[in-house]
Amino acid sequence: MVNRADERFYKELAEAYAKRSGENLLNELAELKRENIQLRSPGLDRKIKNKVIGYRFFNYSKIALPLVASFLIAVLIYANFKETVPQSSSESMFIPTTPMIAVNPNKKSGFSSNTEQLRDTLENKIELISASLPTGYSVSGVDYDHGAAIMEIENEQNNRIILVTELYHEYVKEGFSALTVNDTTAYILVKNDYCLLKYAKDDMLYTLSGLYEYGDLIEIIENI
Amino acid sequence: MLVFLTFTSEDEKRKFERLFDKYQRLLMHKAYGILGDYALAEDAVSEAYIRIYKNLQKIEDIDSPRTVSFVVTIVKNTALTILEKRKKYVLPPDDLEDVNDGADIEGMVLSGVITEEMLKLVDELKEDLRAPFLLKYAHDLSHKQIAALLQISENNVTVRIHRAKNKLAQLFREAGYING
Repeated sequence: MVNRADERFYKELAEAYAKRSGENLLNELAELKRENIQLRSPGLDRKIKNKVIGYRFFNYSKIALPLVASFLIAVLIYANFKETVPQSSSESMFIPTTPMIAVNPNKKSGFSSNTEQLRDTLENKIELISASLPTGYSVSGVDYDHGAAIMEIENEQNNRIILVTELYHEYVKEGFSALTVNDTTAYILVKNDYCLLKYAKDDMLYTLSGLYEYGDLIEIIENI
Repeated sequence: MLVFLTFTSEDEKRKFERLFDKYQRLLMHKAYGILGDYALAEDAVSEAYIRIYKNLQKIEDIDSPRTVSFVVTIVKNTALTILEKRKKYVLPPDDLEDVNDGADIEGMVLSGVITEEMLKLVDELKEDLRAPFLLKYAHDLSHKQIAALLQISENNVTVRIHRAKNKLAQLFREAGYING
């Protein structure tokens, strides 16, 4: 049976102890600062960051990953839809862009020629992007699907970023914030658990998504 | 690092930021004191900050002795857990066999005074008993919350708190604060 008087005493004792030990610890901290004892290293920040990522990934991946996946699927469906819409109607729907791919008359089929050349263009772009990634970033995977190149990029903290590269097309900017990168306007959407960044340059549209830090996304497009 | 954390408000974010800046050096000092290894101390502190982050609502005044006691209790325990995993320190088993509810200290309660000598007796508790005792009585955490914070079972929390109280009763008896 719980003795309430005892419980009250233990509480008073513990509170007094916490107060006294806390005061001693604060003095100890002041002493450490006075002696300028450095016990912090870049490694500590990195370890905390990795642990937080693990913790947050565990807690939020159920929400964030389907959202990012849905977004990518929507991008791919849209890209596929655009390819199948006749040119006349597409011109009325979208801002005209300078054709990126010249038709090669030697090719037997215009469609396959375009597809192959788009693939070549994307491969060239991916090669250039890979070569110009900021220090600490590397490409961990590339896939091509429905006229888009999907790159998976990782940095030293194992932050994963998905970069979708495709021919420029008009895109929804509602809800996005504009920011200027290399004198070009990019559009960013930052949510608690993921961020999206859209950036158009040289008739290409780049869509980056990451789970945590939009700074990573900006750093990448600055080098594109 | 903070951009990776989710906070319900800017105030909460600032609170954690201040907590991190103010105490990271002390926590490294404490963890290093237990583990004697820089890399392991970093592991302990980083793990401790995650646990603090999960219990941020328990912290009211960052600069108070109560708060520093709370965060140091967590980092010490995290460091001891790491030490235990490295087989250098063996925590007591979870059994309830030696739990004894006979520690009656009502006589002391009646005196109504907590003296410095009494606090020194709390110092004599081993950290694995003192941490759950303080978290329960000084920081008002439930057994379930303590179990999550120290990463032990609720049963073990109950055992350790009982042992802490029994040990304190024994120490108080030996010091002549209670009879019998």
